[in-house]
Amino acid sequence: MIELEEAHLIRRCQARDKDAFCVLIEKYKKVMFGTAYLMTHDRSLAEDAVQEAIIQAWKHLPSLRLSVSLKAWLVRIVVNEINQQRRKKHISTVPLEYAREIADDCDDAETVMIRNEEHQYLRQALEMLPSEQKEAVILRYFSDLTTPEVAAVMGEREGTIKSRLNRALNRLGEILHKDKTLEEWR
Amino acid sequence: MDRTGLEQTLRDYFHAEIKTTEPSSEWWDKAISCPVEQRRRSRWFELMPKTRLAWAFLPLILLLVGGVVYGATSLIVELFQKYAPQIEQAGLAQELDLSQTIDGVTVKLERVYADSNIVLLGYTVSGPHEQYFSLGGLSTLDGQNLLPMVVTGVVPGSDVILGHWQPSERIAVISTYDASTLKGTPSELSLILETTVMNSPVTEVTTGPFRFEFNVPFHAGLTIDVGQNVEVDGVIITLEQVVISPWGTRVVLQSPNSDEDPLIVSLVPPDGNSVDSAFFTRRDASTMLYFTGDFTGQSGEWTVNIGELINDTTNQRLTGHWVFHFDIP
Repeated sequence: MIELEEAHLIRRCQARDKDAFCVLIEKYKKVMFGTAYLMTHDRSLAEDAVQEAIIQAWKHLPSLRLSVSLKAWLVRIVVNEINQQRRKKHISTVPLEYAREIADDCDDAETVMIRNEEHQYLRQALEMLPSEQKEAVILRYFSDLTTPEVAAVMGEREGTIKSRLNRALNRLGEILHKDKTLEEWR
Repeated sequence: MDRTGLEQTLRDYFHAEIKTTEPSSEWWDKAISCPVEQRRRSRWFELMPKTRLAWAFLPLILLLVGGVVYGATSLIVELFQKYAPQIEQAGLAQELDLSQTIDGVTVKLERVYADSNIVLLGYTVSGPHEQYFSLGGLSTLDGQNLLPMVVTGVVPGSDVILGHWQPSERIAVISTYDASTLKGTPSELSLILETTVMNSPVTEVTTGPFRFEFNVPFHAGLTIDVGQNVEVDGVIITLEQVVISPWGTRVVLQSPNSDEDPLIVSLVPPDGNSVDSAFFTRRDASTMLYFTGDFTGQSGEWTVNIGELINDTTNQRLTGHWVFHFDIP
């Protein structure tokens, strides 16, 4: 498909054009769902958050300024929805061990489990991070937002996010190094 | 592992993690349609250009459309059913069976419709290559050129299309032309379509020109010269004209600043069912808003409501509402 500029599609959404809205959501649906899933590790919760985010996006698109990154705006809505769900339902992320049990119980475990050894270590390491560091890492390295966009989504200053990401990467590096050393020792 | 390596590993990990958990396409269809399903508006014009810059790229626009069910009915009929259902339901589209083959490439003109707002042409292109692109020039026999608006259709091999279509036709499209410049209201239009075909946008090998001459019934509809001014916060907008045809309704406006586009515009015909504008175009100082759907035959009070203006350059928005009322006896 040869795309026209995103700004034109946003304009059309603001004029309540459903087709333009579908095109935009189609473009960002993976990042919306992926962000929700990585933050909750629960497919149905992620789906709920994304569904609600889509409704909110349609409702509030007319007030979106064209200078704002649409992707960051949509991710922010998704994160807000997750936070609201958490407040309502006290959702916590699924512990790593439980997630592994689910994967092991699944007939199609081959496809669910991350077989890559490095990824297994990484998964463990991420679960050991404080939640705000883990969220910043997801927004930066999965949602592919810039540091200012991560700051906007999380409602923090850019400097805070920079140091949070820095601490998270240092911590991940330490954990991974330690795990690998232990594995080699065994 | 250095920092760059760790960052890349994180990216790889996250993408692997979500790969098997993405919702089905049915779930997405439902999720996306949910917030807007109550709205009544056309599904026409997937990516209609709205600015002058976009219009400059118009000849390159070929839209790939999903969800068409390929059965015994021709692709062109199904495209008309999907994108101009009001025309199909009223039985106003005319079948044609005109084809021309040059150097192994065949263009087949199958279906056509014309009214005072729009001309629709449905045609297929087949040949040895995987994909073709085509947007023909349309004119009347007496030399009036009709500006192309958009090409909507299907091509094989697109992941937008459901299923695995391997047709003999390499593209099936509806080309849309602006009929607002046509002079007079003849009962029939004599048209000439002249088009070349590119075998792909990369190599730009062209075949043609293919030339078709044909006649089509012209549905003039109803033209109302309104000439009504509404002022909000010192900004005067004039509703100049409304043209109601079986395909849709065109509302012609004038505002003092040609950089300002109307936003959130609705049309309320006498039956009370509000419809949002599908797209708009500009010509000189006038803005033409199009509302798709057959509103012909409705007498009584009509309302046009402009919610906001948005500046094309500065993105500044000016809130209305500019509300126009006019009667059709």
